[in-house]
Amino acid sequence: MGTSSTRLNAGELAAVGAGSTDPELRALEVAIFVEEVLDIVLPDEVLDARHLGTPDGVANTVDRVTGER
Amino acid sequence: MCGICGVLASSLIPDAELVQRMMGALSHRGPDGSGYYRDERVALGHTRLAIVDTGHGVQPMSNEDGQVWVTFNGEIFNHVELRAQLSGRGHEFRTHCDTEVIVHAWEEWGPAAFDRFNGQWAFALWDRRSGELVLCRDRYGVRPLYYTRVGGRLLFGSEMKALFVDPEVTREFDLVGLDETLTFWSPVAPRTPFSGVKQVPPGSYLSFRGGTERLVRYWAPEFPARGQEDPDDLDEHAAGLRERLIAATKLRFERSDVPVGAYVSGGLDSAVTASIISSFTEVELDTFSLRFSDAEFDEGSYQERLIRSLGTKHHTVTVTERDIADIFPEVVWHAEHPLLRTAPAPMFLLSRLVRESGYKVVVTGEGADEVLAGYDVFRETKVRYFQGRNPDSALRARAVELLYPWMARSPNLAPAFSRGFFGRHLDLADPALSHRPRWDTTSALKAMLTDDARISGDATSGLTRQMPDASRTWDPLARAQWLELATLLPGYVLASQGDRMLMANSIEGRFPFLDAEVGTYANAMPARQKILGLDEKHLLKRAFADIIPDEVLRRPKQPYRAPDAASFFAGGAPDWLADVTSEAAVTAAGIFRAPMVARLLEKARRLRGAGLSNTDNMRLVAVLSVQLLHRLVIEGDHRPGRPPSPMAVFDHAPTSAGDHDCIRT
Repeated sequence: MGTSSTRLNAGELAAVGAGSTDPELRALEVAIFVEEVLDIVLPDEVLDARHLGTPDGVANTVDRVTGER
Repeated sequence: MCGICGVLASSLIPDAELVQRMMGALSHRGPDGSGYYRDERVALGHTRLAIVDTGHGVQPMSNEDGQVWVTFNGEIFNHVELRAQLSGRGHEFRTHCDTEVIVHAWEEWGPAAFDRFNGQWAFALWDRRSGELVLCRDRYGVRPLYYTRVGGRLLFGSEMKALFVDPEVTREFDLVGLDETLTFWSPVAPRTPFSGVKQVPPGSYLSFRGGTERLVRYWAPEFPARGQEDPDDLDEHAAGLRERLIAATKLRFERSDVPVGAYVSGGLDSAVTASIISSFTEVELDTFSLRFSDAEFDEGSYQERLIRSLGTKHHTVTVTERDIADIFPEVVWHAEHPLLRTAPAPMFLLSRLVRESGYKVVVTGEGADEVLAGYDVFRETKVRYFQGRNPDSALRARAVELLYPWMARSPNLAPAFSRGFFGRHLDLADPALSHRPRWDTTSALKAMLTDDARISGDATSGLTRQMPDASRTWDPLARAQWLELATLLPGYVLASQGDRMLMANSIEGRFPFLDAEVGTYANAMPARQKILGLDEKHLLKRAFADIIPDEVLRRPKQPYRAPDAASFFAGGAPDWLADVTSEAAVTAAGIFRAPMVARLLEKARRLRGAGLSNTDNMRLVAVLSVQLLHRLVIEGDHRPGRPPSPMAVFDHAPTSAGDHDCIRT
């Protein structure tokens, strides 16, 4: 895991969007959280449940976007 | 809770008749008695709502040797702890009132005492030794304090109507104050809606000494720089918040010598305060709720769910549109500010219910949305930043559906709304990015102003210039919170809708979320935890999930609202409306264009108040309230009744028949 993704608190990440039933909208809420914490801008192509739907997916996506993988 | 007033004279001895008239204008704030102190320079007046040490506590009150006097409105909740410290330093107390703590704390610590107070207060303190008069107000502006200068005198009072009993005080609208109201919903302290009348800003004191005036800010909201927030995790912060809120609520519930009730709105904040009282004290609780006959505004089902869980003795008042219309002139008289919504009117009726039920004090949930980030504007801020990082992204525009789920059902509307409302002013360097769309919406009301009532200049730049330099390093949420704490909270929520609607019926409100410890703790927490993703007040929900019913905890946030135009037109206009909105009356007030007012009224009449736009609803309430203010305050006859009996007199002025203190009944 890269440095950036480890700055995301797992407990907080798990609770983001917990009330959302639409996985794509939940992915957008996760994106808002990730950008807020890491002060980065995620490209449009990762703003979906495939990239941001699970903790591992988020970590991989962040590492790729920040060039840490 | 009480009313305070007074006069500082530069040459002539203050007029005892004048200060009694001022006290008379504040009778509703303190019907249990009154009193004044006078010497060759100063008069201090007081009307008392007896809550702490009800058998004693006559005000104004002095220290042991009569050199320091105070007239005080509010509560110093940590007075017991401060008294112990001051007694240990040799101060002697005659009562158990928090009022007496103020004079001794001033003797011991001077202005540094204010930082030690945990409470809600406005007071005037006269130090004869140094010839200094101090007007001080609590951190968030829970208690009001206005002042004006006229004929070489300084007049001050809890409400502006106390100043207007002096015929020398000019009564006219302040156009800048009006412009600020038609931007932020209220003037920004020290400005008020009336020319020449100012207010002591929250967290500040004014010192008058030897002909000089000094305004000192002893407290201001502070937030950490991004990355410097308290590092605790969600559960640790939730536990810390819980501990502090329980302490703050118990302090406000238990430190009273009369019974204390609680408001229950149906929302989370009052559910938390009422549940804390119910869960962590042994006293039986009375709760009070507003219902609306119009289901669109009613939160009764949530109130009932909570009450079932708490088992309190519950009281409700059901408000109809007609009730709002009938009471509106009285509401405006007490609010003393232009209103853009009728929402204060039901609060007036609720405090009347409390009074009729034999109560003087209620604990409420005000301040939670500001301190713990509950308002939609905060969630919108996050979405706007998200959108602003790539304004061309259609995917990012979809985030607006997270705020307003109905948009998902209207896919054709969402992009347009998103661009139109959220897509404006997306300058990420703008310190007020959070509030621009809302300020724009409110400012649309200014199109109705006459040329004479318009001012040049931009209210928003005046406000953003007041933001501290350090705010550049804060999280955007913290900057948005600062703007709410500078405008809507003290100017509207705590004033027109808070203090004034409670005190109109002699009821004291107590606000645990505005406790000094709670505020400091909350401000230090990371913004991302206050609104986790887009879940507002996440830490509050997490902290009290075990004692709040799930239906209340998880319900979508519903801003408190009341019917606006429908109140005045659904069932025929109230008697007073035609009179204050006639072409002659509108022209005489000179604020709004008479033809535009006529068209707006005709439209509201035709539609029976239904189906008007958000802006038209605000326009209508603004017109009615401004016209009523003109009729009642500017043109009105300010001849109050006598101050409440018994009246304590501490007259030490040279012209009186020697120094004498007495009680008049």
